[in-house]
Amino acid sequence: MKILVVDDSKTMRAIQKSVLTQLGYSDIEEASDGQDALRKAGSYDPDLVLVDSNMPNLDGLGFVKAFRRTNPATPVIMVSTEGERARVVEAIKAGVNNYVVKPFTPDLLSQRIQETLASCEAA
Amino acid sequence: MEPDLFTPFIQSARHVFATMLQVEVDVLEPRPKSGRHEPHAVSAMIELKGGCEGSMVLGFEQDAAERLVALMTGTHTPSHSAECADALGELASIVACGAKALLSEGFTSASLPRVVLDAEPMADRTMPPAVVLPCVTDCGRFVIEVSILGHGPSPVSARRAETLGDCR
Repeated sequence: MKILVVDDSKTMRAIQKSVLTQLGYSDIEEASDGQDALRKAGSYDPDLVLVDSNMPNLDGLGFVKAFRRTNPATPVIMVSTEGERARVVEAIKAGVNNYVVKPFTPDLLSQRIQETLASCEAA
Repeated sequence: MEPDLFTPFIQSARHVFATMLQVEVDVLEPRPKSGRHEPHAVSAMIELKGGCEGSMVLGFEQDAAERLVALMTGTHTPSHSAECADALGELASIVACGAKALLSEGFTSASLPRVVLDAEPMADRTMPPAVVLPCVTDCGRFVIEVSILGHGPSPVSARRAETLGDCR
């Protein structure tokens, strides 16, 4: 499985990559903002995307909307500092499959990844 | 500054540090910020905008910065490094957005973090009226500086208790 991790913080990308590695995933690509992610997604063709919301250049919501035009079924999890209900609803309407609010524990992120993959497989 | 305006920052910091770092934060007596520059080894600033305007700075002593970042990253990182700045900037961003959610009627957006190393004076850091919240952890000391300007009705959300739960 190929996983794209999108966050402008190198620290947060490393934390998420560590959780993914512990879950047994090793094919992980990183992007530092929405524009970078769209470029990489084109050639990398991820099976799962973890995306931050607040990023320079193109934010998470902008990335999801653009990504969904060519990838309607790829699971996307938004990992965000924004926990307000309106933000979550906006992300889901844009096409996000699941939402994790920072701060998160590795166990919570792990759980959400597995939930998302299971529900997308069942669909 | 009314306690209702800076208490969400305390709640958020405690929640973030406990969840991500397993570190307990003790907040000492809040005090008004003096007009003089208060240096820190590393400072991370987030601006908040919306119906109100404000900012939050997390200011760390060197040993606290290095120990907290080591807990985040699992590796030793010098406080004067880009990696340390990135980690503490992200920490500040999460704390500020957590507080913003509790003050949701006043703020609608948070800036990307701005991190300053080595106690450089930052002319536009939180300016009075601001409150300084001295914090103590097992990893060392840091401060939360909060400045909120031009608020009308109290920006404290009625949903604050539901959003973070009991962080005390």
